[in-house]
This record gives sequence, C-alpha cells and structure tokens, in this order.
Amino acid sequence: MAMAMHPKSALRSSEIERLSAGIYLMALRALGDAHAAEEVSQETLARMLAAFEDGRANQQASLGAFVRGIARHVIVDFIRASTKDRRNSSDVASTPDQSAADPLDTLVSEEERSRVRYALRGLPAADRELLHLLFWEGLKPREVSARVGEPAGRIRTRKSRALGRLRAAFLAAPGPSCNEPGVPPTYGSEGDCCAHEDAGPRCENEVMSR
Amino acid sequence: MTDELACRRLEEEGAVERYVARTLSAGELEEFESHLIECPRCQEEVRLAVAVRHAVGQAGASREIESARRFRVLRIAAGAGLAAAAALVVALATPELRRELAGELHRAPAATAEEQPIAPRGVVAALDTARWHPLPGAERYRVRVFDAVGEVLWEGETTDTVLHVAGLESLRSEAPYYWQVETRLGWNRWEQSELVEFRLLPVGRTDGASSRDPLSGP
Repeated sequence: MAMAMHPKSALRSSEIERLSAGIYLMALRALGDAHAAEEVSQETLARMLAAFEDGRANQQASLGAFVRGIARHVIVDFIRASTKDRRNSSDVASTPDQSAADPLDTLVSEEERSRVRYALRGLPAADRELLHLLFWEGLKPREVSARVGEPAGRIRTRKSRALGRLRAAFLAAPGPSCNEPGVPPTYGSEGDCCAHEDAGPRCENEVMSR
Repeated sequence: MTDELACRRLEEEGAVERYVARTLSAGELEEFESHLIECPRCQEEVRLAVAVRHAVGQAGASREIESARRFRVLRIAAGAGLAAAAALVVALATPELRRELAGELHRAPAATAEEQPIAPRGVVAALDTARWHPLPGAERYRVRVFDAVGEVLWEGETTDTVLHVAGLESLRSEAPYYWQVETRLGWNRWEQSELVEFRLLPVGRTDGASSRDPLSGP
C-alpha cells in the first residue's frame, strides 16, 4: 500500500496552534460550549495527524478544507453523543442551553467589549448604522449599498474606516483606572475625561487614547 | 490564491461579519471556514467582529429605548385626546349607555408579546421580582434590565412567568431603568415585549409606589 504523505504533514508547532485556534472557533460557533469546542479541537488534530501518518490525507484539498472536513465529522459525532446522553439522562440541567447569548461572545473579554462599545459611540451616527446593517443584520456590502443608496465601493471604504477605529480600540492595551460612562472616546486627548467631575474608577477614554 | 488575496476577497464580500451574524450560505460557510482554520488574521478579525456585533446590538437596544420613550409620549398624548372624547360621549349618553361605555373603557385588553410585562412599572419601592403574562407556545423566557443608555445590567432566564431579580442593589433611586421579557417560541425564534420603564423610590419612601402585584386583583 502506498503511504503518501500530505505535503503539509510536517507541520510546525506554530502551525498546529493556528489550526487548533481555527478549529476551536468553528466548534464553539457550532456547539456553543467552550469545553466541547476544546475537545473537538483536540480530537480533530489527532485524527488529522493520524490521517497524515496513514497516508489517508486528501492531497487535492487545501489543508484548511481537509481539516475542516475532519472537524465537521467530529462535531457531528459530538452532537450525536450528547443527544444520546441526554436521552439516557433525566438531568434536564445538563441539556445544552441553545437560548444562551451568542456562544462566540466568550471569545472576547468584557474589557475588549467595553472598549469597542465606547469607541462605537464616538463614530458618526451614519457609520454606526452602517455597522449595524453589516454586523447585526449580516447584510452583504452590496445589499447595504442597495438599502442606503450608496455605491458598494463607498460602503466598503466607510466600513473599513469605521472598523479601523474600532480595531484600534479593540487592540488597545488596558490602561490605568478612571471611568467616564456614557461619553464617547476621544482620540489623541489623553486624560481629558479624567478631569471630568463625574469620572469614576475606570476610564475607557484614557484606555482608548493610548 | 495566496492567503492575503483570499483575505481581501472575503473581506470584500463581508464574510467575517456575516459569519458572526450567521448569514453565510452553506457554500460560503464551507469556503470561509476552510480559510479561517489556516488564517490567524481572519481568526483575529472574527474576535473583533464579535465585539463589534455585541456593541452594535447594545446600541440597537438603546435606540429601542429611545423609540419606546417617543412612543410613550405619543401614547400619552393620544390617550389624553381619547379620554376627552370619551368624557364628552359619556356626558351625552343615557344612564344605560353610560354603564356600557364605562365597562368598555375599563376592560383590560388581551396580552400580546408587546404587552407582556406586568411588574415592575412606573415608580416602585424595590426591584426584587419581574412578572409577566405567559405567551402560548413559550419554551422559556429571558428577562433583561437596562439602564438609560441601553446597557444590560441584569439578565436571567426561566420557564416560569416570574423571576427573582438579585444583585441590582446599586440601582439609583429616581433614575429611569427599563426591562423587557423575551419569549422563546422555538429554535432561534424569540418574541420581544415592549420596553417598560420603572424608577425606584428613595429608600424609606413608599408613597405612590406600586409594590402590589397587579395580578392579585384590587
């Protein structure tokens, strides 16, 4: 039997980590459970490495498509096993809660969310509306274009600019504490909000301006 | 296609934001996830998209609160007009018709998803429980308490139509707060009630506060 190796079978640990993070994300979105997503990630990587060793890897597919295929199987197996467990158990509390908040929310810390929220308030209303259509309603740029009557190219430019500001806030290093709830962040005016008489224990604006 | 070109094309199609909003088609999902698994840049973009989605969702709740305020003002104005017209009709009607009209005017409308919330409403002595009307086909209910700018202060779920609210001792008296009940009617199917405003009386005062359960009768 030919023991063909996938061209990417000699993966470095950094590549394994990258794949692991991608599988985790995909599984978390599908299963809504961080612990289950971690298990799916480990199992998928184990099956992937076993497939490389046995020469069962599909050399025609990209590594991503190949790994995604395995991950889908593992996720389906996981769902089947959990459904069976639930049928055999009277413990209602162990049923996965499909009504909980978006499972992907756990990917982001409260501090990161808070920084983005405050940065959003500093954007023009039209840009906030645009982001709502894209990120909340999940419309394609050309659908947004049709709805607001602007060329798709301009929609992409506006999105890119608005997202750039939110990305800066998202990636900002946490700063020292002082707070200004309800006031949009200011850029390049470090410490301004801290002078406000109502400033509290943590300052989002100071974090933003760093 | 290089990773960078793939990223750019997926970005132009809005794939990341549609991934978190779950509006990608099956084919698009397969293509995007196959790329995502190998692309740390897109993995980070998904994290950012989750934070942005969360922020715009909360901003949407704020807008809803603002609309609810405007709607309330319109309703009060319309109510005042209707009350004046009703008073005129009652004054001109026979005693029998007056009794009928009085019954009609005081008859409580049937609850809809919009009108589910019962308590708290208006000025209350404390926020310890939330009560609402049941909806047919409800699997469970989710209650959220918001501040005046739409931040979620508290959230809880139950299959009952009453929920104990704990951990909100820091609410300021006389400041406006809002709450809403969402009813789950099936997989990913939720009905939202109206946003109801309430305020807390200062500690030690109970005058005018509607601490009574409106369902318990007069």
